[in-house]
Amino acid sequence: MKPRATPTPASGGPATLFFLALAATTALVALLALPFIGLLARVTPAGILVHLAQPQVLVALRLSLFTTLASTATVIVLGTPTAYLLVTREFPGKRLLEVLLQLPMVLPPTVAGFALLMAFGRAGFAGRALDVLGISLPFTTLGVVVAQVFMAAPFYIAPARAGLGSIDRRYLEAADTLGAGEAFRFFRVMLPIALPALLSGVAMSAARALGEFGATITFAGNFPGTTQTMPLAVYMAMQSDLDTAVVLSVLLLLMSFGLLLGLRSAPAGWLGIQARAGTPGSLSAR
Amino acid sequence: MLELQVRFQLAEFPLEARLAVPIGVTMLVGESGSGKTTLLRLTAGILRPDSGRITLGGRVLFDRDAGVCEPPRARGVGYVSQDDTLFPHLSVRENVAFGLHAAHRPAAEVRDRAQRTLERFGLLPLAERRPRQLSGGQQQRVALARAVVLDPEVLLLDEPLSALDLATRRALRGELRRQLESLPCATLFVTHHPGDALAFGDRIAVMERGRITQSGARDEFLRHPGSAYVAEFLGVNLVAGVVAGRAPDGLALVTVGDRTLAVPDLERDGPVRMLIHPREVVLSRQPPVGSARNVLRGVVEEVLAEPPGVENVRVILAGRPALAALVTRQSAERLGLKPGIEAYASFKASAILVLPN
Repeated sequence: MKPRATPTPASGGPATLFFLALAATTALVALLALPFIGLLARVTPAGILVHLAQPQVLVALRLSLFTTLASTATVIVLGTPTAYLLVTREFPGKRLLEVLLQLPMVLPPTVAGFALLMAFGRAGFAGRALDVLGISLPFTTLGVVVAQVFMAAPFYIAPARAGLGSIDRRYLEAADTLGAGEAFRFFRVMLPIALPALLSGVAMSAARALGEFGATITFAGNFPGTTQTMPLAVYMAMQSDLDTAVVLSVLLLLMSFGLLLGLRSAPAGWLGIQARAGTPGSLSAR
Repeated sequence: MLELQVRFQLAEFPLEARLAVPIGVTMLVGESGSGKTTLLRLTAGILRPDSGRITLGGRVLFDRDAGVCEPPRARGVGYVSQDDTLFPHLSVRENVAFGLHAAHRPAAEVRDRAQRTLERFGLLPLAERRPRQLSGGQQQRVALARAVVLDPEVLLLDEPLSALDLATRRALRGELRRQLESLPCATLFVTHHPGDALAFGDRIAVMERGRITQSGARDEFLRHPGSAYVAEFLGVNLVAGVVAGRAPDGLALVTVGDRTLAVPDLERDGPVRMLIHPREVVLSRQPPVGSARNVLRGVVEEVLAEPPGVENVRVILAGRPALAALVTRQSAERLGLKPGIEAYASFKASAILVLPN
């Protein structure tokens, strides 16, 4: 028997497991890829351009880009300190907070939107408080952003936390003994070393925000120009103008694909960082 | 002067250490797991003692009873750990400047001091490289430069040479020694390597199972090993004799027991103490014909296996004085060395290191 580079199953016949795995992968890839092909097969570059020029497409595209940018920026600004706290501190109720932060990942988006409406709607307790300040969320663009942040934040916090938590603690000790304060250590050591993980989180949460449908339509409604983002526009167009729906869908597909490909797989070498594995979540033990 | 008196519970035994580290290099030696690294980490502030007191030049770094525990960044302690901890995303220059930036020194000062330190450690040609583009020895130099640039009052070195191969280790030892000798700080240098301990230390402290069992000047150690562990650890031939005269070529003739040795670089008369490293001693079954000035005849008393994995054996030659020689297992077998066999030990005059009085 020749030596092999990869491990092979010890029993069960040669390569049986491999063929089973190959069959399963093929089935899954077909399920995931066929709809995309079905979509792409219906458009031509010229067709895309013609439909892109339609005002309702442009308006939805612009709104989607704006709200996704705004919600992603919010997620980064609020999510990074949250992830840092979860990694570096122990406090009572931490487990509860962790579950809460994961909840939107598994919650039906319509339930999320409905809950947002109950809290921030005219009759909601938080909505009344905001109303005093002259801020109204339901059925506004700001409401779209809030719905996207709600749904997308967990997709940033999870990888950010994993990235910050898996930094080799010896780097942190080195920074400490070299006189770095907590903020200096965070910006000069932790942030750069965890950057690939953070970017991966940005990609995931931005893609999630871009594709957000259920919470948006429930909480912010479906008004062209103010709250009708691309996913909502696709849904509307499907009922009247199939070609426009196809073009919008293809656009969304390409944007999400590009986001994931670009940021998620940002090679560590490209950032000049050699990742080194540590023990995740071990920082808070000090 | 760094003064420690700390207690810290380790998994198998408590660390209970009392130690004073004056300006200069103090070697902290001991077996793996005896608590050496822990002692450094307690001093650096990475770990917190269960009780005790740590002072540095009168400044209190830790005092359980007074409730003082300075954080690592406020201790003025440079710590170079055993592992490579250079920041992977920063260049050599940025790594060296890190602590200066952290202390918010003015940009011009940071540039200057980093530049001078890079120069001093011979790192200028590597200044713009990333740590992963450096060899192990170069990384070690950068780690030392990164700590030294801050002018620490105490420098803690945890086996700085252990990750290196033997050739690099030997080459770097001399360089590191010169660097450390030029520093005006108290250096505590952890090693479990006897060669390091003898090459560097003005002073040696021995740690056994969490306690400092002996500490003092190096020569004192060689004269009076306080425990079997110390004697074995140092593993050298220490012989005492009296200068009896001069050979025509200028070498001193020293009477040791019933033998006479030719010794270089010895101007004074009277009693002397000398070290002969077992590695320098050549064994043969017949009287050797060669350039070695010193030939002693004796009977093999013992053949000791060095630690497992090392292809050397230690042969003890009985006589006055008894002499240990380090030879490869193969040579010992080829020569048929076993207790009771008559053998000749030879070594050059230059293999003898005369200790200062």
